[in-house]
Parts: sequence; structure tokens; C-alpha cells
Amino acid sequence: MANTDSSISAETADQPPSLHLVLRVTDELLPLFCHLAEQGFEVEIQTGGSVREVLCRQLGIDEDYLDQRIQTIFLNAKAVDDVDSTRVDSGATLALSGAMPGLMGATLRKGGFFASLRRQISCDKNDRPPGSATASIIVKLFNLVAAELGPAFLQKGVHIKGQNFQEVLHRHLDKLAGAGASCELGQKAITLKDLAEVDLVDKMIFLRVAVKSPPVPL
Amino acid sequence: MDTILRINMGAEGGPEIKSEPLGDYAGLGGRAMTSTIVAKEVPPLCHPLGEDNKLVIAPGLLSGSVAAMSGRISVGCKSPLTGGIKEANSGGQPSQMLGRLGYAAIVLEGKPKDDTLYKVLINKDGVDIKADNSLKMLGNYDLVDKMKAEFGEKVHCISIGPGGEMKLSAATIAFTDMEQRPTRHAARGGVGAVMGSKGVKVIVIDDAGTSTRTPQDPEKFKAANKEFVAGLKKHPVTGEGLPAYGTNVLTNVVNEAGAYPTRNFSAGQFEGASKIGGEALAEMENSRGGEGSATNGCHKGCVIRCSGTFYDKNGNYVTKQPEYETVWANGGNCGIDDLDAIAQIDRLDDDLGIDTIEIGATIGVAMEAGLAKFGDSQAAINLVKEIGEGSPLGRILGNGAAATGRMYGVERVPVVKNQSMPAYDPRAVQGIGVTYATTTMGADHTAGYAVTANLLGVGGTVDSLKPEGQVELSRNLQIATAAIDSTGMCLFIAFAILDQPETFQALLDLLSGFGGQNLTADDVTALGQSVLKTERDFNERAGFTSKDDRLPDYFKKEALTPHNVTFAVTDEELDQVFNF
Repeated sequence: MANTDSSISAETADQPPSLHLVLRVTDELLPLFCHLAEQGFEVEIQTGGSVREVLCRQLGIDEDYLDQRIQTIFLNAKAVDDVDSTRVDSGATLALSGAMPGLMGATLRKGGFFASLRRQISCDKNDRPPGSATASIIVKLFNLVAAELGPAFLQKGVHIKGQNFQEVLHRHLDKLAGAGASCELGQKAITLKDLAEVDLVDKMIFLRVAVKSPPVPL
Repeated sequence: MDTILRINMGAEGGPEIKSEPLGDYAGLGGRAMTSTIVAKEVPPLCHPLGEDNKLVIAPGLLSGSVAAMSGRISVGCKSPLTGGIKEANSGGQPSQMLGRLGYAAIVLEGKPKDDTLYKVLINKDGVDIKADNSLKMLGNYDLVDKMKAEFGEKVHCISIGPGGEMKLSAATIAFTDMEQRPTRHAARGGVGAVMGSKGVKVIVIDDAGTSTRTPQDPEKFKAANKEFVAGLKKHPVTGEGLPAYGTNVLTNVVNEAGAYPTRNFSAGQFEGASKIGGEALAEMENSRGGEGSATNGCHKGCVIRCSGTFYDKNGNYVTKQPEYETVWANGGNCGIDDLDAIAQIDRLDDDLGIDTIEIGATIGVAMEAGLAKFGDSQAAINLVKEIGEGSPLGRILGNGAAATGRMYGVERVPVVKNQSMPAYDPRAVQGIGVTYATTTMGADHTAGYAVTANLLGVGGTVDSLKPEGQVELSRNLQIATAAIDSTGMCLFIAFAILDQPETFQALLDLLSGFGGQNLTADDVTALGQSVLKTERDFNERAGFTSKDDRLPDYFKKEALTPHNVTFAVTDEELDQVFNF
């Protein structure tokens, strides 16, 4: 993964400062948190670049992975066909998925033969001259893409809604505790049980999931 | 597979069994077989539950062989839901078994003189039919257990639940899966009601003593099958996505696209989607464990294995892994984000023998009518139980969304030809709306599902950027789907054969190697066109006109969030679909 930590760990301008949370888990428990990637996390980018520019050059996703593995992309809920001419602006939501089954899957895939079936919700090419600024966007990872890219993002750290994290924590509390997971909130150690009691519902948190094994390269 | 089994339930002195050669129906399988027999033998204006309607059950062309993915089975009749021709298909074990027993079709015809219920046994020694009123109103699960106790642990069943006996328009026909559970259904259009009208509760199949069907060209067939399997396994959809997440992998993606019908088609995104999507379902199933939990096949010979098994939090079996359509219909469409509740509804639907799509859509309409609140999962479960009890309200609900909408004065009823729409909002994905509107089957996502149209070259090359591309593509997809349905292959092979020309060629070689002829893409196209024309002709004779090929008016008037789009394909464009 070629991106810098700052590209995904900086606070956003219009959000309250995030609570910093570090969760230390064994390697095999990391996938439990990939569900968070489906719900979206915030990253900071330089706006005005193409989808390819943002994903590959700024967030460090391999170009071959984008071209071959990421088959379906939505920008602000609209299906993207051309990753080189579609630009990403401030506040955007960018969702990435692997290949999907059936006609709907074929219809939504980028640049697919059946794209005209959904032309009313296709992303228009943006002909405005790009203006570059630092801004945050939301990235969502689905299915195989979440499983494959999620761990690396989680290990680098992501801004997420506290409520989403709390739901995952409550669902897996016993498993995490049983496997000896530990955590630090604001650089102070806290037990998982106490963490589960903290009201995170209306808060943003910066979550980093640390594992004993080395980070997985994207 | 050179025999058609006919059982005349209305014969003097009781049911009459007759086996006959294929005759004019030689070379047909699956949907081509069911639609051809129905179109030729059923008077289009007959009552769907009357003596003149026929129920045709037909395995695919390769069923009973060792060809991968060849276990689909088609059921055809005049539909009590739509009033037109119907083909509904299913997975499960019976297709392969009927193929090995040599039956290309079972035709139930006539109507019994009274309400006696019958069970049919088919094995290598022939066919036996007996009255058995002890089976009345049994759910499919208890029924199968009873048949196993009576006929042995290795039999499989084709059956109806109370829904079929009550002749509800949402009634299904169940086919047992590899674990002998009645989880696979020919679900759409009320085919179970037609089986109920014939007085047949269950067809028990025992293929002991039979062997697999042998191809005409064994070497070609074997090589093609190997290539076909390799193609399915190497493709990311059929080799990775579907086995890992099942069809429910679509939930998050369709929701993100703003095409996920939410709360009775009143919005295009559901805030609870990530709680019920394929990723959450797989995580839950993997966490709870159990045999075949997150990945399982629905019949022997399936290499995609897109299904699974749903256990409750205590490890007790509930149902098979709910599919995307089921999760949507009983989930987002009803504002419900609880997978355990959705699985419970799926189990009830399977046991009662009612269509999960139709019933989910119906509950959505009922919620809009004020019978329950959106998001109230217990209320939804209670409404399904009401159907099983056969109460007046249950009978209304069991006859589907259109009937329920009429009874309760609801305008927003998402049906075409009285059949409820599946899980894609046609305002967001308008090309699929074209198929919903024009298919011979009533609103049906699988009618234009097989994404092989470009490979088949059906109707020439389509410029996907032209406005009329949606109509042309819908037409081509419907033709391709009709062809695939006729082979008895699972439609989920479509993605692999779209992306990988060598896998498509392997499919053609597989069919050619089995039948001994040289099958080309043109032949497959001609088959699909022929099936569609046959079905269209039946519907016209049944009184359907172009006015039936329309979406409900509100889809043109109510903008769908988040894209704020209405259905914009004109009537004139819709009328071009069947110009071939």
C-alpha cells in the first residue's frame, strides 16, 4: 500500500475530533472488523483527481487490482464506467465491489455490455476543470474487496462512526475477550467490557486494528 | 429420457397412469418442454384450476447425466396468478433422478371427482398412485419425513404444502435438496395451486437401481464438462463471490446503486441493508457453524455452491441460506433488518409452500395498508402464519400482492400481470423494468437474466449507448434466458459464459457431446426465440394484449430516491420488444 498514514488518519474539517482507538487482536480476528468497511470510512484525499488517481495513487490500491478485481464502482450511488475520466470531489462516497452475479451484476459492472440498462443512474463524465483541495470522502468496500483490502485499511487506521464500531464490538465481545484482545482509548488502556459501555453512538472514532503479524500489503 | 408420464387425475374409476414416447416433443427439455406442451394441449381460456389445465414437470436436457450444473427442473401450466403461461424452475435432487429414471416430463391432467389427496411413487419398476388423506394440510417438512419413513431414507420428493392444497395463487411446488429437505421451490405464478387442484400432494422419487445417462459422444462430453467446470471455478463470481456470500451478496451493491426497493417500493435505499447483506449473513453463518453453513450446493453436480444452511444462535437448523430475493422481499421491502426473522419467514414459506418473493411483496403491501408497521418482524411472521391457518385474511394474503392491494385499496402495488416484482426497482434500472413489463411470465427478474445475449449475437449487435438499447437488450436477454432454461442448466453459469468465450463453447460442446449433434450458438438462439414465441402466442390466445405489458402507473409518476427517477421507457418502446 503506497499511501501515507496522513491520507487516512487526519481529522476532517467539519467533524468533531475523533476518539482514537487502538484494538490489538490476533491475526484471525481481523476479518471480524471488515464489516465496518461495508458501512464506510472516511479518508482524506486531494480532490479533483480521477477515480483511478484517488484509488491507486492516493490510497495505494494496485492498478491491476482496480482493473481486474474491482468490477463495480459507485460514486455518489451512481455506477462508474470510466475510472480515468470520472473525477472525485469533496464529500463524495466511493463504493467498491467485486464481480456480482446475475443480470444485475452484469448491468452494474464498470464499462459493461449491459450498462445501458441502468443509464439513468450512470455516472456522467465530469468535464469541469479539476480543482484540487484537501477534503474527506467516504469509502465503502463490499464483499471480496472488503475481505481483501479491508484488513490493510484497518491496520492503517480508519475514521468510522462510533455506532458502527459499537455494534461490531457487542456482536463479537465474547470472541474478542476470549482471544485476549486488548484496547487503548485515547492512549489509555481500557478493558473490552468497559469499552462496550462507552457511549460512542454519536461520535466519530479513529480505529486502528493492530495485529501480531505484519500488515498485509495491498 | 425418452418417456412422458401422464397421470389423468379425472379418469373414471380413479387416476389413470400412461407412459408414452416423446413423439413431437423429442429433443425438448426444461422450459421448452413445459411451454410447448402447455401451449399445444391446454386451452388458453380454461380456468387455471379446472380440469383442462395441465401441470407439466420437466427435467433439463442434461439432467441425469454427470454434466455439472444440470439439475434444474421446470414446471409449467396456465398460471392462476397471471392467467397466462407459466414456467417456474427449481434446483434440488428430483431433476437428476427423473432423468436417470428416463422421464422427460410428467404431465398431471384432468381433475379428481372429489377432494381425495394422492401420493405418487416413481421408481425403476414403474409408477404407483394411492389415495392418502392422512397427508392433508401437512407442511412440506413433515410430509417429507413421512415419505422417508414410508418409502426409505433415500427417496426425494416433489410436493405441495397447505398453500397448494388451499389453491393459493402464491403456492409453490417444493423439491427436496441434497439433505432431503423441501427447500427448493418452483415458486412463481401459483404452480403449487395447480398441483393442488389435481389432488396430488406428493410425488416420491426413488432412483435406486438406475444409472447415469450416457452421452452419445463420451469423449467430447467428458472433455467439455472438464472445461466447463474449470471455467466456472476460475471465474470470480462463480468461483469466489457466490460460494462465499451466496446470491445475497447483491444486497449492499444494489442498495448502494439506489435500486433496492425499500418499504414497498417507496425508496431506493434501505438504511439496514448492511445488517442483512450477504457479507453479514456469511459472517453469521460462519460464526454459528454447522454442516454446510455458509457454502452448500442445492443438488449433486453443482460446482458453484451458492447456497448454505441457516442455523439459529443455538445451532438448530432453521432453513437453507435465504437467497437475495428472499432477504429483500421479507427484509428491506418490509423495513426489516433482522436476519433471524427473515430466516424464520423463509422456513414458514417453504413449509407452507408459498413463494417468498410474492409473500414478501404482499406483506409490504399489507404494511402499507396498515395491517402492520414497516419494520415489525413479529407482525410479518404473524401474517405469514395467518396464511398457514387459512383464515380469511390469510387467504387474501396467500393470493398475492395484487389481490391484497385490491382488497385493501392500496395503489402502490408492485406487480405486472398480477405477479409481484422482485428485488430491483425498475425506475433505477430501467432496462430490467422493460423485462418486468414485457416478459410472458409477469414481473420476473430471471426472465431476462442470462447475460449471454452478446455471445449468442441474438438480434444483431446492440449499441448500448443508444436510447433504444434497453429494449433491444431486454429482448435479447429474454431469448437467451429461454434457451438456458430449456437446457436445465443453472442460470448462475451466465456470468462465466459471458466473460469467458471458452466456457461458453464448453457449454455448447457439452450439449453437443451429449446429444450427438453439432450445436451452435445460432441453434441455441433459435430455441430461445421459439420458446418465447410459443409463450407469447399462448398469452395472446388467453386474452393478453400490449396493455398488459406495462408497469403500474405510479412507477411513471413517483420519483424514486436517491436518484429521483421515474420509469421513462415509453409504451411504444415496450411494444418493440417482441418484434423478432
